Amino acid sequence: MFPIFLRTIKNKRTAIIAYIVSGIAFLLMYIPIYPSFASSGKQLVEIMKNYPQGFLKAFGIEDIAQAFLSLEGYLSTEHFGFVWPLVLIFLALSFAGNSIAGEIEKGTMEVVLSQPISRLKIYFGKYLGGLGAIVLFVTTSIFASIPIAAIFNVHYVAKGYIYMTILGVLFGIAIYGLAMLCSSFASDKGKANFMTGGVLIAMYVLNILSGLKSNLDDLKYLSFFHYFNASGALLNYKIDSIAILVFVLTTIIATTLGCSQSSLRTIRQPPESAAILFQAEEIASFHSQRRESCEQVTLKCF
Amino acid sequence: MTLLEFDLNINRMTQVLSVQNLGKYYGETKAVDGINLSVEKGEIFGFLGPNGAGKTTTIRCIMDFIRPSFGKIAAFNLDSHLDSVQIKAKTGYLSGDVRIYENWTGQEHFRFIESMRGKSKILSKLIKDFDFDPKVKAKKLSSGGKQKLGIIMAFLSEPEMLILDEPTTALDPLLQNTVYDYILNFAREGSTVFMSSHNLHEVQKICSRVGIIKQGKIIAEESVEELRSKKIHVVKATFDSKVSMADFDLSGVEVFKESAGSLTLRIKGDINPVISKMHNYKLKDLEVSHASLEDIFMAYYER
Repeated sequence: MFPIFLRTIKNKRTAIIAYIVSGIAFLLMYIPIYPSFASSGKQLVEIMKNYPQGFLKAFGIEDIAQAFLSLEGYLSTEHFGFVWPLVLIFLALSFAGNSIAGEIEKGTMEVVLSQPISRLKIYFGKYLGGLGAIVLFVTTSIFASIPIAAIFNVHYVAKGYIYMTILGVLFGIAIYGLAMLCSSFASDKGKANFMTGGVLIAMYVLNILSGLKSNLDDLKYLSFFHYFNASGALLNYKIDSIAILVFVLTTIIATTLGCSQSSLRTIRQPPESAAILFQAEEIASFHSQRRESCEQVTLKCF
Repeated sequence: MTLLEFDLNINRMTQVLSVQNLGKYYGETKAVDGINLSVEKGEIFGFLGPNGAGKTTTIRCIMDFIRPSFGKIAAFNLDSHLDSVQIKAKTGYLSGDVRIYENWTGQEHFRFIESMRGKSKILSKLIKDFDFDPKVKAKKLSSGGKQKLGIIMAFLSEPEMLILDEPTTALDPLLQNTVYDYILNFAREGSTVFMSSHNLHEVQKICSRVGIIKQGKIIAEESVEELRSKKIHVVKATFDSKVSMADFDLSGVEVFKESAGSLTLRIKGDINPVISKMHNYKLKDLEVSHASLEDIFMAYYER
């Protein structure tokens, strides 16, 4: 399992670095301009009070009063509540999509499957590789806020970033587990990402809908985005126990199902080979028909 | 009997691969339909058939990439699905359509395999014999280069069984001979080789036994010598006068080629009735030869 894990990390090292750099780049973009936001924080709060609740919820703004009055409130509104989860979702989808479905699509899964290693170990080797990348991205892209804030003389409270990291990892592994499950069912990376993306978009829409009408309020419980409360973690040092339960249970169930499907599934030939095979069958059938017609012509001649 | 011959005989008595009533259906399509075959230790078994006959599907079932609709496959007396890891530890596999990690070099592929199979004793020799540059990234390799990489990956652990799906595709004749030499050496040392091919020349050259598959069914399983000894003759006759084709409309006789004054017939069984008919004509030239493996193969295929 260890060689598979190592290879997964090594294959994706450029992508991991790119994601981490982009996470830090976002912080470098947001943190230096925070002081100017803070100086006009009260006016912004007054303006935002007029916005519909559903709209604010879409951008992860739970507590308007706190949103611009501290760095953590500002970051949870501008970055960790909206842009950052998207980057994390892309990372999880990219790793999971390539791990199983992507390798089957490219045909490279055969290189691994022809080795003396069980499918269970292949799955977990790849799973842990992606998990490692997610934990690395979450940790660095959250904790980088502290030195960046220090460099730009912005006041920060370190405790919130620890809670945010825990919440980020839980959210990341739940999405990754789901994406790996889709990858273990799909025949190519595109389909796997489409499946996971579809589920996540549906969850996002449900979360927005729940904020728009009171009779749809219960729909929020079906969405990961309801449980991903960045401002709660960063500002109030709180992660809802239900959120922990949902993320952990999703991870366990999705991983178990994904692992079982991956062990049972048929590894079909890559699409290109299958197309060649189909063409060959077509050619064989054409030649067979042609030969029969030639024979008939010959017989007629005689 | 020499000691080597004695050893070979003992080896040959051990069945390494056994396929029993194997079937693989994709909906209505019967890719493989109840085939039976067995390969013994030290044997080079050629699996013949054109594209789409079911060769690759059978191989993919043996490798446990796909699960059969019915039937049983055993290798080294182990179940191909339940004991897949133990079987693969003793098996080298070459895909018919070699797919490798495009961003890895050959060396990275070898290290990856060695991390799971242990250090190879013959890797440097293989690299040298196949004239392969291990430092080049796979995406920069030609199709022949990729095939070489696939072959080295299959051979490097000196496996007890080799499953090769059209091993010499994309290789030049010199390298084809290198592959044949390696396969023959592996077999001499007791390894078992199961290889699919539609190259009859290579099957004739290295295989001890062949199985012919047609539309998912095995239509013949015989030694190469037995196949060649089939009473199939090819008769090429050039006549001085016009020939009535009706004269040669005999049982077991097939007009293979026909041009002005010349006739090529493929005869299954007794050739005397054809020779008798030819007495009615004045012959310019007559050539009778045993059918090549290709002719025999075609004869099976046109049944």
